[in-house]
Order: sequence, then C-alpha cells, then structure tokens
Amino acid sequence: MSPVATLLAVVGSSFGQEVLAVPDQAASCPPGTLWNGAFCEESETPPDDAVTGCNQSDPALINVPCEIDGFVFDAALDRYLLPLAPGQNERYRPPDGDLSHLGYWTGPQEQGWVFDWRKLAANWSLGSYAWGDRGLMWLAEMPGEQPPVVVDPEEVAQQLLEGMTFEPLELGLAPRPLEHAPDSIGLVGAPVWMWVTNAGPTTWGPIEESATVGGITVTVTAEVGSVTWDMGDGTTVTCETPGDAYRPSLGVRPSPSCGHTYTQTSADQPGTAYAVTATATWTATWTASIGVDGTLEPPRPATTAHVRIGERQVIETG
Amino acid sequence: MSVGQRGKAVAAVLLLAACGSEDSEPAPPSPTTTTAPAITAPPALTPEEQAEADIQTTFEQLIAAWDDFKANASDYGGTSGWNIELVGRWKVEGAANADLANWIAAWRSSEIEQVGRALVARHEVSDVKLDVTDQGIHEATSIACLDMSQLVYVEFEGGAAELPETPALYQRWHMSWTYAPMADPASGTEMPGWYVSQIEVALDEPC
Repeated sequence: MSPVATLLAVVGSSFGQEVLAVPDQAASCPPGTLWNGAFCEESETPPDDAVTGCNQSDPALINVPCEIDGFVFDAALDRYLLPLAPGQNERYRPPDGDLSHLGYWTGPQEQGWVFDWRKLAANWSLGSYAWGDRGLMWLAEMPGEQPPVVVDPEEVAQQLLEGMTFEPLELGLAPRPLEHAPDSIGLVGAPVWMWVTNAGPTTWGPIEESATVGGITVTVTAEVGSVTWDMGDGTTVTCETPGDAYRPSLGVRPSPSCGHTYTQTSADQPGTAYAVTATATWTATWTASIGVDGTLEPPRPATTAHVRIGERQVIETG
Repeated sequence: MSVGQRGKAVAAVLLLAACGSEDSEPAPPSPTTTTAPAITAPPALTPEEQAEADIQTTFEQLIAAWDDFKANASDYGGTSGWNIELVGRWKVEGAANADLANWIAAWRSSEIEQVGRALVARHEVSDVKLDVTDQGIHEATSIACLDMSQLVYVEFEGGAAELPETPALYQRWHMSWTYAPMADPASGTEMPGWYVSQIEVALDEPC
C-alpha cells in the first residue's frame, strides 16, 4: 500500500470520519500561487542572471544549480536525483522488498538503485528554490556513471522535419484548369491568374515542432518561401505569396500578385493544353537550446494542372 | 486506552511519585538504622509506546522550528538555496522535505512574520509498524491538530499585516513517518530517528 493509501486508511479511526472529505490545502492553491503554511501566496519569477551550465528543460529554467542539498542535476534525465539510503533502497528491490510491489524497480533485481527525483518549479524568491514535480525512479547506473547521451541537434531536427506533414498545393487558375472545366479555354495575350486555393499550415506553413533530447531542446520551423510555377511554355514564374484568387467581376486585368501571359496557343502541346506545375519551395530552419542553429532541406511538393490556350480569330467581312 | 493515553498515564504516575505533595513537610532524614526504600525503575515503554513518544517529540520540535522561522522570517533569505538548507536541518524527508522547503520560500516571499506559537492541541500516532524491513526501518502515521487561533501576523516593520486571505485558525496535519535506523548523509539522513515523509494539511473545525 502506498504511503498515501496507508495514511487515508487510518484517517477514519482518528478524529472522526469527516476528515476524509477535507482536501489537502497545500494542493488546492490556485495557479500562480503557493501555499506558505497559512495561506496561498503569489509566486515569483526566478532570476536568470546566474550561469551554472545546468539547464532544466521542463519546466524550462536556465542556469539552475547543478546540486541542491545533495540532489544532483542530471541533464540526460532533466531532473535532480538523490539516491535512497541503503535500507530504504532495499525496500524496493524485488522480490523480497516490502515495497517492491509498487513497481519502481524496473530492471534486474541485482542491479541498480532507486532514486528520489525532483524538478525545480518556476517559483523562486530571495535565493530560495521551490520544488515542483517529484517521485521515485530506478536507474541501472549511478548518475554520472551512465554513458553520456550524445545528442546531435541537427539529427534531432531532421527527425522532426521527417515527422512533419507537407501537403501538395491545390491550384487556382484563370482560365480554369481542364481538370475542373474541360471546355475552358484562355486566349493568347490575355492575363492568366495563378493562386493557391488551400494555403494553410500543412501547405504553406509555418509549422513549428520541438523535441527535447538529453536536456537539449530542438525546434524546427518550416514555411513556404515561394511557389515556382512552370507554365508549360518554357517559362517559370516565382511567386512569394499564395496569390490572389480571380473572380469574373474583376474583368480582364493582370493578377496583382502572381500572373502570366501566354504568347502562343497550346495547340502543339500534348492534349492541346499546357501542363502547369506549381512547386512549393519550403524552407526549414532549426535552433537548439544550446545556442546552435541551421537549415534543413524539406520536400518540395508539386502539383500539375492543365490549361488550354487558344487564339482569337478576326474575320473581316465585306 | 490508546497508546498515547497509556503513555500519558504512566508519565503522570511518575510525575506524582517524583514530586510528592506540596503541602507535606520535608521528610526528616532517615535513621541510619532503617532500611532504605527500594528504588523502583519506571516501567519501560513498549517499542510502540516509545515510537509514539519519539514521534510526538519530533513533531513538537518540527512545529517549534517552523514557528521560529515564521517568527523571524526577515532574518532569512539572500543566499542561494537557504530554504533548502534550513529544511535540511529538520526531521523531514522525501515529499515532506520538498513541501516544507516550498512553504518556507513562499512564507518568506509573503514578507510577514508570525507572533505567537502554534499549539499542538492533539497528536495521535497510529499504525506503528516496527521492523518493516530487516534493516530496522519502522513506519507510522499520525494526525495532529494545530491550534493557531492565537497567532498574529505582522509586517517586517511590526505593523499588522494585510493578508490576501484570512488564515485558518486550525490545521490538521496528516503525516506519514519513517524511522531511519542509521545516519546516511549521502541520502539526506543526518542522524537516526523518526522522519516525516509526507504531510497533508487540511483546514478543519477547532481541535
């Protein structure tokens, strides 16, 4: 039985049953406050002027003390650790430890040690330290004796990038693409409008994802820098925005943001239509909490649509 | 009779035997020819009674230390980790150690001091388990009621403190205790004895 369960089990026989309904006052303080023994007191923000080289990632506290009253900060585990006294440690060792049923001992019974672990909370005042999450954990090796965790931030960033979703663009064209309007036809010399109809986080960005490995937090940000439109007639148009959608009420005018003008009909093209391919050029950058950064090569999803371009024939009569 | 009541009764009997009656005349010196009265050793406490007495003493010392800090809060602070160091001198471990370290820091941040002492109105020790391991570790739980109705809170300058909420007049501490059979400074156990390992505070009716 856990200490808490043991405690609650005996409460009923002491001072009367009503105690069971009383919540722990220290645990019921509102967010942003701490129990000070008499009432809930507003918490403060930690100072950040000391340089210790130890950084806690979650919650994020830079330059935390590397040792507090015997608790040694372990960067790989992102927490402070203190080994249990030998007698207490044996209580958790299976199969005979009287607390082994609690399951903290997660390795071979003849190996390792149980540690009291804690994290600092983001509440400090006048040099004091406030503890946050805490618990027990089994480790196969003493902290510091474990093989160092080698973290390559760029590799972490690449893994983050590979986990991101980059969806293809959906193309808006005027004249309308044959995929949507098989009878559509544009004219040589008339303005063609191009735009992206589904611009969003997975098609245009930005996408931001982070991961913490070995106490180092790596953040990757990806977004579309431009779209390259291969118009099928040998020319390319680069647009840095998703473009403006055309609507008939605008009449015949060039696109203010992303447009093209064909000078020849598509009569000699396969299917008598130009294949218009839009390729999104994503850029991805990464930063790490240890002060390094870099760039990555994200995929470049491309989408193709077809437009038919004809020519106005002027027939003079009389 | 509970363990606690039995212990108090024994203590009372011993006290009466030691003090005698205030009204009685001083006893004349015994003639050397008479037989000296046999000195009777006080009845020994059972291990459970001894555990209860030790726990109650430890708790009284803990509350006294907590009161001392609250009464002199302005003397503390400024050095890195001062609250951790302070609570490290108390007989608390594990979650109780962390909680009290936080309470101390938060109290100091309040910039108030306490005038008066919390009265341990009741403290019942129960569920004493001796030798839960071959290493001589014992466990117990207890519930104490603190009467804080006579406390006054003042600012560091001495004026009455304006508190964000009215402190409860009574606190009930539910505690888990562990007996450390030997010192182990590496794990924070400076000396053998009973240590509070967990505290849950509830605000209740009068003790």
